[in-house]
Amino acid sequence: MRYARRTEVLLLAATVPLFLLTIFAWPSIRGWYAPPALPKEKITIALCNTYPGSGLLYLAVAKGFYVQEDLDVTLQPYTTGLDAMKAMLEKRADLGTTGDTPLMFAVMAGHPVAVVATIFTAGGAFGTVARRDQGIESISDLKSKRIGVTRGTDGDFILSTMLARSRISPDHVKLVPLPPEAMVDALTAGKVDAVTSWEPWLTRAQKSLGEKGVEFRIDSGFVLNFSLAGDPEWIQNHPDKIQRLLRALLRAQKFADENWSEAQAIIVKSEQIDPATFDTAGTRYRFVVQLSQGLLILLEDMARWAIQNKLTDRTTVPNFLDVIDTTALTAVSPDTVTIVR
Amino acid sequence: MQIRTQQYVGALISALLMALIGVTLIHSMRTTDQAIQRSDFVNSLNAKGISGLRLVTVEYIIYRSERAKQQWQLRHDSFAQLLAQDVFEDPTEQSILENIRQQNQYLKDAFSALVDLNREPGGSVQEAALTREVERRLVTQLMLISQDSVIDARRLAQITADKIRESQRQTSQLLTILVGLIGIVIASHFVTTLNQILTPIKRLKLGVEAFARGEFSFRTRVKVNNELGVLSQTFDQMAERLGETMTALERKTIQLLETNRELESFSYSVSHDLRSPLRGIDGWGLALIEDYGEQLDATAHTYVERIRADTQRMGQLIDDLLLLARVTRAEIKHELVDLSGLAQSVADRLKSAQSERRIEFVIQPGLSAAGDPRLLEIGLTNLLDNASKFTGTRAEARIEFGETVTDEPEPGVRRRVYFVRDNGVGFDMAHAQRLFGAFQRMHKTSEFPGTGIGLATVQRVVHRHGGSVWANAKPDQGCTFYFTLSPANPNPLRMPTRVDDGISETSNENSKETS
Repeated sequence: MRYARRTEVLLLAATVPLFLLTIFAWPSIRGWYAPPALPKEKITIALCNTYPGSGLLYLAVAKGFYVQEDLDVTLQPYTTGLDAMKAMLEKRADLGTTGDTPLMFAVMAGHPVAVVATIFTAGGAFGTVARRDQGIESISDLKSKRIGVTRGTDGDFILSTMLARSRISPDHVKLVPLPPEAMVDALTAGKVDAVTSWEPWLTRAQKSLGEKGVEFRIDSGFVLNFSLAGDPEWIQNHPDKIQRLLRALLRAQKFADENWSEAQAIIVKSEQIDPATFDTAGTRYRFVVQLSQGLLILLEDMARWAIQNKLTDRTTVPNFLDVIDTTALTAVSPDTVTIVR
Repeated sequence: MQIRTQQYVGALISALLMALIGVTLIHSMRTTDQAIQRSDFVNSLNAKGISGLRLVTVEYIIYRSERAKQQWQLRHDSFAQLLAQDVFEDPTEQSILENIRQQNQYLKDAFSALVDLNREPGGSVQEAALTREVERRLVTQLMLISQDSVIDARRLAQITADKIRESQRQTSQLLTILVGLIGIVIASHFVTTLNQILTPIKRLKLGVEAFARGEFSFRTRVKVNNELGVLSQTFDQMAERLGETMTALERKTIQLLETNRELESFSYSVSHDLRSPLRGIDGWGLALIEDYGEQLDATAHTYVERIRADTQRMGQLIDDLLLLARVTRAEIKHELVDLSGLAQSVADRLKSAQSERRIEFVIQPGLSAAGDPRLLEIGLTNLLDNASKFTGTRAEARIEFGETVTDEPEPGVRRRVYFVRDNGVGFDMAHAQRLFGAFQRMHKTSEFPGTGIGLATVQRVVHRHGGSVWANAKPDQGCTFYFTLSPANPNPLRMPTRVDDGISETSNENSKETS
C-alpha cells in the first residue's frame, strides 16, 4: 500500500509538469519539425532615398526581416524614383522603386517593366512653392511664370493637375526641368519663380524662402503610389525571391502599424529626410504593401494626360493590367490584392 | 489524508476549475459579442456608406442630375454620422477608421470640386479642354478615394475577423488546459480512491470472508492514513484477540471432551463393576430365603426381602445409567425411521405388560424421520413408558403420539414438532428446568417408582440427533413432551402477527415422573 501511494505521488508529480511543459513548449516542439533553412538568396533593389516611400525597404533591413526570409538584400540609393527605375531598367538592380508617373512613362516607352507591389501611398505630399516677390499669391498667378519641375516624375503630373484646376494651360507657363535636389537653390537664386516637387524638398524650399515663399499643396485626397517594379522576365524567373521579399515587407508593414513612432525613427535615420517630414500638415503617408485597382486607374489617367499633352509618342492608352504582376503578392497575401481580375 | 478531507479537496478543485471554465466562457461570449458588434459596424460601413456613395457618384458623373447630387449629400452626411461612432479600442483599428473618416472628407472635397466645375463651364476651346482634364482628374480621384475606403473597410473587417478567431483560439486553448486539468483531477481522484479506499475495502472484505470461514489468522495489513486505515488496524487487532480466544476455547473444548470421555468411561466402568456384587447380594439373599427360610422369623424375612428389593432397584438404576452411557457413546446412524410404527410397537408392549389397565394409545400414522432407529426406540420407549407410568392413577388413561405445529420454544417461529401427550398427573412448570437432569424427580418414588434417568436419556437421544426437547404441563392436568430431531427446521413457519390457535394439545390431566 505504501508502494502504491508512492506510485500515485510520482504519477501526479510527473503528469502535471509534463502537461504544462507540453502546452508552453508547443511552439518549440512544432519548430523541431520545421523545414531546414533555405540558402540565402541575393537581391539588389534600387531605391529613392530622399522620399519616405522607400521606408519599408529600410525598415525590413533594420528589423532583420530579410534575414528571417533568408534574403541577402542590397539597397542601391538614388535621389528620385525615376533614377531608381532607370537603374532597374539598365539591369544595375533586380528591382527598383518608382512613382506612378515614371512607371507610366516606362510602360508608354515600351520598356519591359512589371510592378510586383505598391509599398507606399502618399496623399498631400506634392505641391508647389512660389516666390511672393514675383507676384504669386495663388495658383492662378503662376500663369506665365518659370516653374521648376523634375520632368517625368509625379511632380510633373501634379503641376499639370494644379494648373488645369486653375484653368492654366501648360503652354502658358515656362517649365524649367530641374532635379529635386537643385530646386531649393534655383528658387532662392531666382532662377525660377516656383518649384513643384514633393517632400522633403517642398518643406526645404519653403524654409529657405521664409516669408517670401508661398506654398500650394495638392489636396490630401490626391493619393499617389510608390511601387516596386522589375523586369517581367526576371520576376517570372525568380518567384521565390519575390515572395520572400514581399513577406519581409509585409512584416515591416505590420511592425510599422504596431510601432509607428519607432518605425518613423528608423526610416528618418536610414533615409535622407528630415524628421519633420512625417509631421508636415496635410500629408497622409501610408506604408502599405498592396496591389489596388486604384493604381490601375491612376496609371491610365496619367497615360491619357501624357498623350493629351504630347509627352509621349503613343496615342493610345496601353493595358496597364499587363504590367502588374499579382502572382507573388497573391501567393503570400491574397487579401492585399484588390485589382479586379 | 482523511477520506473526508480528500473529498473536500477534490470537490474544491473541481469547483474552482468549473468556475474557471464558466468565467472563460462568459469572457469568450462577451468578447465575441463585442467583435460581432464591431463586425456589424464594419459591414454597415461598406453596405450603407461606401457602396451607396459610389453608386450615386457614378450616377452623378453620367447624368449630372440634381437628384443624384442631393442623394450623394444625404448619403455622405449619414455616412459621416456612422463614422463618428467610436466603436474601436485598438489603436490600429482606430487609425484605419480615422483614415476612412479623412477619405470621406476628401470625397466631399473632390465631389464639391466636381459640382463646382459643372457650374463654371469653360468658355474657350482651350478652357473647355482644361475643364475636361480637371473633370477626369477629379473623377479619378473620387474613384481612388472610394477604392481606398473599400480597402480600409476590408482591413477593418479582416482585423475584426482575426480577433474573433484569436479569441476563439485562446478560449479553445484555455478550455483544453482546463479540461486537461479536470482530467488530471479525475485521474488523481481515481488513483486515490483505488489505493486509499477500494483496495483497503477489498482487503477488509477478504478479512470478513476469512472470518466467516473461521480463519482468524488473516490480517488486512492496510497501511493508509485515513479512516479505513484505522478501521483495518482495529480489524487486525480484533482478529488477533479473536484468534487468541478461539485458541483458548479450542484448548478448553479438547480438555472438556477429554474429561467427558473419562467421566463416561468411569461411570460405565463403575456401573458395570457394581452389577456383579449386586447380583451377588441378591443371589445370596435368595439363597438365604431358600436354604434357611424356615429358620428365620417373619421380621428377618422382611429384612431380607427389603435388601433384595433395594438391590434390584439399584440394579435397575445401574442399568439405566449404563443405557444413558450407551446412548451418549454409541455411534449414531442416519436412516429413515418409521416413528409411528416404532411408537405403536412400544405401545403394544406396554399394553400387554399392563393388561389390567385401561390405556388408550392414539398414534398418528405415517410419521417418519431421519435418525438412528435404536436410539429413537430408546427415546420413544422412555417417553411412552413415562406417560404410561404417570397415568397409572387414571381410570381411563389416554396417551397420544403425533406431530403438530408450535412456536415453542422460540416464540414467533412456528415449526413442526413431535409430541407425546398424556392425561396423567402433570407437574408444576416452576420446576421444569430440573425435568431433564439425571436423578431429578418431581414425585415421590413411593407414588411413582423410577430411577430419574429416563428423561435425561430422552434428552441425550434428542441432542444426539441435533434436536431439542421440552415439556408443557400443569399439575393434575396432564403433560405434553415436544421434541425435534434436527438442529433447525428447514422450513420454519413464521407465526402470524395475531396468534389465535397456539398449542391446542394441552388437555388432559396427567402426573408423571421426571427422572
